[in-house]
Amino acid sequence: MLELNDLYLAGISRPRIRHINLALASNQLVGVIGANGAGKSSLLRGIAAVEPHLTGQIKFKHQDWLGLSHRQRQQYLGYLPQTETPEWDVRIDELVNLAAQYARPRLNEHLKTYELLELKERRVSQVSGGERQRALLARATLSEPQLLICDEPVSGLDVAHQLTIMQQLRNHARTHGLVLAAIHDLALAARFCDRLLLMHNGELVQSGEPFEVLTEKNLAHCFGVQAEWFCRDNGVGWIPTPLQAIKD
Amino acid sequence: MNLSQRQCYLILLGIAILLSGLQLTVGGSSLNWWAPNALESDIIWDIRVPRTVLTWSVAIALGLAGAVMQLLLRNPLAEPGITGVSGCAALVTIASLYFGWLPAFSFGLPALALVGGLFGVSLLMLLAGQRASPTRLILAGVAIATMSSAAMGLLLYLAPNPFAFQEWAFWHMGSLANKSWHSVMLALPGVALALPLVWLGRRFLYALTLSEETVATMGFNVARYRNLMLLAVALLTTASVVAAGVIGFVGLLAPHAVRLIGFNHPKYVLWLSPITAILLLLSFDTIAQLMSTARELPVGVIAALVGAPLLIVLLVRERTRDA
Repeated sequence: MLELNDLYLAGISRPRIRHINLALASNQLVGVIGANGAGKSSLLRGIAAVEPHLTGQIKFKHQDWLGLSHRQRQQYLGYLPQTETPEWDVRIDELVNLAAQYARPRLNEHLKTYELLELKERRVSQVSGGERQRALLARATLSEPQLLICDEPVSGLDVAHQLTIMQQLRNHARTHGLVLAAIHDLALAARFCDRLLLMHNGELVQSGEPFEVLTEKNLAHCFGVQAEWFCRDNGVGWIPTPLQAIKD
Repeated sequence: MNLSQRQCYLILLGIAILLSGLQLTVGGSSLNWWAPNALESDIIWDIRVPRTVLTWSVAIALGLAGAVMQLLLRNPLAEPGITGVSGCAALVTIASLYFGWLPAFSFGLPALALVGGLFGVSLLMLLAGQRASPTRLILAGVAIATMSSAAMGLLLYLAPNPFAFQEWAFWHMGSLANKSWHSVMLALPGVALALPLVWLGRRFLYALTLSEETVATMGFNVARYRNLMLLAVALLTTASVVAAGVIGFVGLLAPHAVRLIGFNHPKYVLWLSPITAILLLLSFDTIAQLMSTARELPVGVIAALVGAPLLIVLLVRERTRDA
């Protein structure tokens, strides 16, 4: 569904992403992991076509993705950036339907999916950070995009909201297409993602299922931590747990 | 707020018509409206009515320009007057008028002033940048406004026309006094050209509730739409400046008045600001006329007296929000 060929993005002191080649299938939640500055956001911004200096080729459903017009791309794409603060204190339903013209029943159905129906008349300033993030995600998914890109959608949220959002991302992937999300919490990434992309210094170190990617060696190399996998007694819910930082 | 945009629009329009009636009756001489003689008829049709029509035209230009600037720059303090955009348009107008480049009521005048407006708005974008902090925007605006104001003063002082410098107050503070249909004709083309541009870019402006990065993924070519909106702001600013000088703060007050009555969505701010600006300018002009004695008080003085405290309140609120 999505093919990246030799993606490269120059930075000020070093390349932000280096020669990334990758092919991703549909109906997957793909987590992009890596330490700060690894190139996760740059990769996602590149795929969202908001990095003007990106070189290489992106193919989406066999089309030249970067060659499409803004309007053509918008038919497939939903995007939630790392930090998003609505400038005007609009109502939640207005925020979700911003610049779109979806009819009220369709909007209400979508608000219900994201548990926002009861909050729809509240203003952005009157809801919690988690509720606002849910509303922003609902806005990004309103057009049911086949490619959804979220940059750290759960950072700064409490555990319950993190789980809700991750579940919604997974649901979206199952029903509509491919979801790419940068995630810092490795346990969440391991639990919810079908596939992980491990980034380090702008390079794609490994791509695969969580248990293939989150190895002790990879975690030591890319995050500088000594980590182990823990599991519950019944064998379900494996989580990689960083134990301590490795000193140079 | 339970009123729809249309209901609110109709109410504001009703009040504007009432205020227009009030503005028409205020003036140096009392008139017999039901059976005017020839002189009174001239006063009504050549002085009072053009003044009211001009007030509407200039207010629509100021209100819409203020709303577009605030939505475009995602900044509640943006306004053509206090950011110096009007000053730059006025500077070019003054230069062409007092150095005799163009006759006073030539349609080349708004076209030439548009260059000044475009220069001002581009300079503001360059100095403050997109999504600039309110402080940075105000600093850039103050620099441009001060420079254009000083240059205006210098040009008027050096102008070969001996009465030019006496016009300083008009250009600096803005005035709707002693206007004719010519002034209306100078203002209208800019407003008429800008309205379709704003209509074309309206969804882009609504989307700019979110970051430019997100807006770029919502189907908008950001650079193209931004340039289109800057052109609209320059056209609107120029239209108001060539006809009535630099009237500050109306473009700031109108969008905030709309938000104050509970309409926060950019859609309401954009389309209710012009009618709100009409109410404000009609009120200010009526007050200015009532307060005038031998010489008429420039309407910009009243606008600044009301607008400047609001600017201070907004700055304090921004500071509290940042803290």
